[in-house]
Amino acid sequence: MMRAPFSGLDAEIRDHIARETQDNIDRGMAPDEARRAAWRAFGSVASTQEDVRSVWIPVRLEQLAQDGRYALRSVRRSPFFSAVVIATLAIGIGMTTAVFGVFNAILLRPLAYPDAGRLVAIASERPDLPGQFLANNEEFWHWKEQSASLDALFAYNIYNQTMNAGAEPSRMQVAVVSDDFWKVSEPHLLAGRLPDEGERNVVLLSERLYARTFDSDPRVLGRVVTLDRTPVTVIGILPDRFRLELPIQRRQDFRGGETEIFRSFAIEHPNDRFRQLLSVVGRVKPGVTVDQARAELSAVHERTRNRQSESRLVMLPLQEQMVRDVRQALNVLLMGAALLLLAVCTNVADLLLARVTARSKEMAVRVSVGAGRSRVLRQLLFESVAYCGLGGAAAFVIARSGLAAIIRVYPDAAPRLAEASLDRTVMAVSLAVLAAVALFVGVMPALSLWRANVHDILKEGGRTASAAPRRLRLRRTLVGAQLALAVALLCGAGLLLKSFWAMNAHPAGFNPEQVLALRLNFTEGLPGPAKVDMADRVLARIKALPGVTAASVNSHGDLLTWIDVVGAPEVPPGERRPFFMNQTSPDFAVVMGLRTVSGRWLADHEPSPVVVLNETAARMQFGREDPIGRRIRGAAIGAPQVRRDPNPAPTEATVVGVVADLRYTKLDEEPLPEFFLPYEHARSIYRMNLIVRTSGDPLAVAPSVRAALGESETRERPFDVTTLDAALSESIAPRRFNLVVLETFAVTALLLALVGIYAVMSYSITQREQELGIRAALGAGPRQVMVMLIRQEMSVALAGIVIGLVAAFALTRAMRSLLFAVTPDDPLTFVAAAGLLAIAALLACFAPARRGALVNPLQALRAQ
Amino acid sequence: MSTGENADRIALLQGTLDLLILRTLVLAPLNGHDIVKAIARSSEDVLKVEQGSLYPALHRLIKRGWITFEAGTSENNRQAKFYRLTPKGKKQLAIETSKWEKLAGAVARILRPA
Repeated sequence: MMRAPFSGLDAEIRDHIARETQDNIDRGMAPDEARRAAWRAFGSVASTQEDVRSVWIPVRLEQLAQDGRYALRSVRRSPFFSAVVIATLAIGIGMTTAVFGVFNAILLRPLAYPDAGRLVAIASERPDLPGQFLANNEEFWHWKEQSASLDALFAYNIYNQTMNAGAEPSRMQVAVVSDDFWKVSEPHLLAGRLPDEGERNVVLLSERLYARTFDSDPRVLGRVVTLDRTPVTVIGILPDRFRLELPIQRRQDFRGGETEIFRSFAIEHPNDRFRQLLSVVGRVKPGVTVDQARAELSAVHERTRNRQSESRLVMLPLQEQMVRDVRQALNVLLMGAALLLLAVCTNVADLLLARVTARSKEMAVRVSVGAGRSRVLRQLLFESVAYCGLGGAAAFVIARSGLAAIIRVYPDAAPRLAEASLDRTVMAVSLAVLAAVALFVGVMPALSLWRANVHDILKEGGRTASAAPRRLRLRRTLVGAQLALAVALLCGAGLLLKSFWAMNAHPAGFNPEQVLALRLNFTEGLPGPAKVDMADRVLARIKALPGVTAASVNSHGDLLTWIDVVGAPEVPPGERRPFFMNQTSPDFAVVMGLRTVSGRWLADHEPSPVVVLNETAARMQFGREDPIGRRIRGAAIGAPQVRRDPNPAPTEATVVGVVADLRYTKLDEEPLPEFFLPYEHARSIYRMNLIVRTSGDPLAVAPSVRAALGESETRERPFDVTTLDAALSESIAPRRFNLVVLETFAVTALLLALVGIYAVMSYSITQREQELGIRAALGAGPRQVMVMLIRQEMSVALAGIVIGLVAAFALTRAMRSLLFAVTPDDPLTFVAAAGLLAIAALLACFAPARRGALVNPLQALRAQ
Repeated sequence: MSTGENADRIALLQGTLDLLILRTLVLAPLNGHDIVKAIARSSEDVLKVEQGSLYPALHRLIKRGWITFEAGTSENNRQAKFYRLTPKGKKQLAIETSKWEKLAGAVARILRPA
């Protein structure tokens, strides 16, 4: 109904005039005269049309549409300028959005479990095993049986195991979970059923594995496959969206990836032989707070723990435990992104301000023909909205590809990172940011125009407009701000770079170059002595290969056991200190560059069991006393078993040496107490790492090593073949991620600041042409003028840099935990950042200053 | 409303024009040109509506729902738009008429104190 009266108006008016003409003719006028009179009588057709239109369309809306169209037109009119502005906005907003996407996925989004807020991670912290968030099976049972504030408690572990389903064996990531896991996670199965309580050796597969290996054939249910040679039955299929969102202890042998097999798991009741180390998660009863639960469970733990173990209960909300390590890093990254965004805003505001100057005459004209000052300002705001709209669209593309790149290149940098996406929350925040940016960059030029005197602008032709000094000040301030931001970002990035360097260069106690590492499972069910023979043969063969300097086996980090000191007071089984046992061979010291601190290392042939301790183990077990010559006893020591003996008698061994601590994985971890035992004196050999020192490129020797293994009749294929160097680098991947992202921000901010300085400097020179011409005419030499110009511009730059340093000083404190061997206020870094920016600013000033110095006085004075 | 030549013409307020249009349409639907002629005729040529300003007034009335329009053919078989009073408009005419009479009466009393 609304359209109809409108659209017929032109015809109606014509008809009206035709009738009036006819009436005039009837009154006796000549046709021409009649027509003219009719038109005259009607009045202004245009204003009639406008008035009718304004009945239906509120005036304001009409004007807004007009402003929008005008804004888009001016964007199109200067394509290069617009491209620069849009690109700058896109980069700033896009990067910020990507970082926020990561932040959101990891820290903000709740876990996928129902009632995730009630889930807590529980551990018993022990001073002699620092940095491990674990509990043992005895503690688990005490907690489960006696806690009143938890309604579910389960334990889990993640392993890499070999699955054999008929075709090729493959390495899979397996989560072993105890019964309550299913109660807590409540998955909707695609097929099959959940394990019954107490059911063992059953597995559920992920949908992806189901499709990939079993062709989505439902007959896989009930089938038996082997995991590390243990038969298990497939009883269910989990949907793709079911994820294991649980904290994962980083271990040396752990390769990140998707968990595709879930296996049921028995938690042993306490016994004398060994302890299971578990990751434990509980769910507090509804209505109970985490603090209350913690207090209650701590009391239980106090009651039930072993007297001398000095362990303390720790309970954290599950999500917090998952992200604890990365929270700091993410905060820092988000802050960096915010700084970059500010730099982008000031840069774009500066650009728009520059353009206003160029268009000030046009603006003045429009104001003077009655557009109204506020209308002109509104139009400026619309322009900035147009830029931000286009920039925002481009930013979306950048954010999406940036996020995809991050996930592809650094999937293991943080837990839950792989699920980062531009979901509703991220988009909403992104839009809010975009609106804020649009306001900011729109207000700047508007501000500068606010008090401009229309007459003056028109009179002076716009170039040396009276508002110029204010505008120049504003632009200088913006440039100063950009420099400050760039300095802050550079300092942060520089600190990260320095600590990264330190991590890579850190002696770490051994020499990772030219070492080839592979893993081997001795799980064929060979009796113990046969395994020893095989290890002997394998090592001999490999050592004989060309290009191999030394070869050794070791079981670092895998095996935890107890040793008693002979002659010391008897320690009850539950309270013995655990040590990491490394079953190894003599070449180990050569391959790893191990330094002997006292005593000797293992010899080629040891007739009776001997051990070598590392410094930490020696200190823990013997304190200040000299351990050399002392005897220790352990159940894991002894002659290799033929058959698995459930109750092996502990055998004694002599301590013959102490070696320096080795740091294997993250170079900033505390070294673990470790003792080294020749493998021929280890009761059972489970899994070995083979390490080979080569004279040339390690990977070049890999094929011949594989061949040597093949000849040795070990049916097990080696896996995780890599150089030790690469394995180490991988373990610091998260830091590399932080580094790369922050460096990108810093470099971008630096470039923006430089462009800004150059632009402002050029602008101010142009403004001052008349003055410079006078100076030249009065005899100032080019060099003098240039020095003066540079000095003036650099004083602003230096002010900006100083402010940036102060800001950096305040902000880098937040980075403390991300740094390694570097303090947050490291003077070298700060000085380097400031110096770099000062030099860059100087270079940016140079060309415009030179141009100013060469201003021809006659030309300048004439161009009025 | 009109400028210049016809100083005799009494300036009409916007609302008054609306009222006159409503009154004119009471008897029969008319098209725009005829409304102008009718007002001039009925007021014995004292009120000559500036023709352009008719149309915004008509649209205002349409928007308020007091008149509506339809296509039709005029005497000389031409396609034209005819405007018609709606029931709501009829009611409004009565209200506006009484308001006007009150206003006119009040002004008259002030101008010629009895």
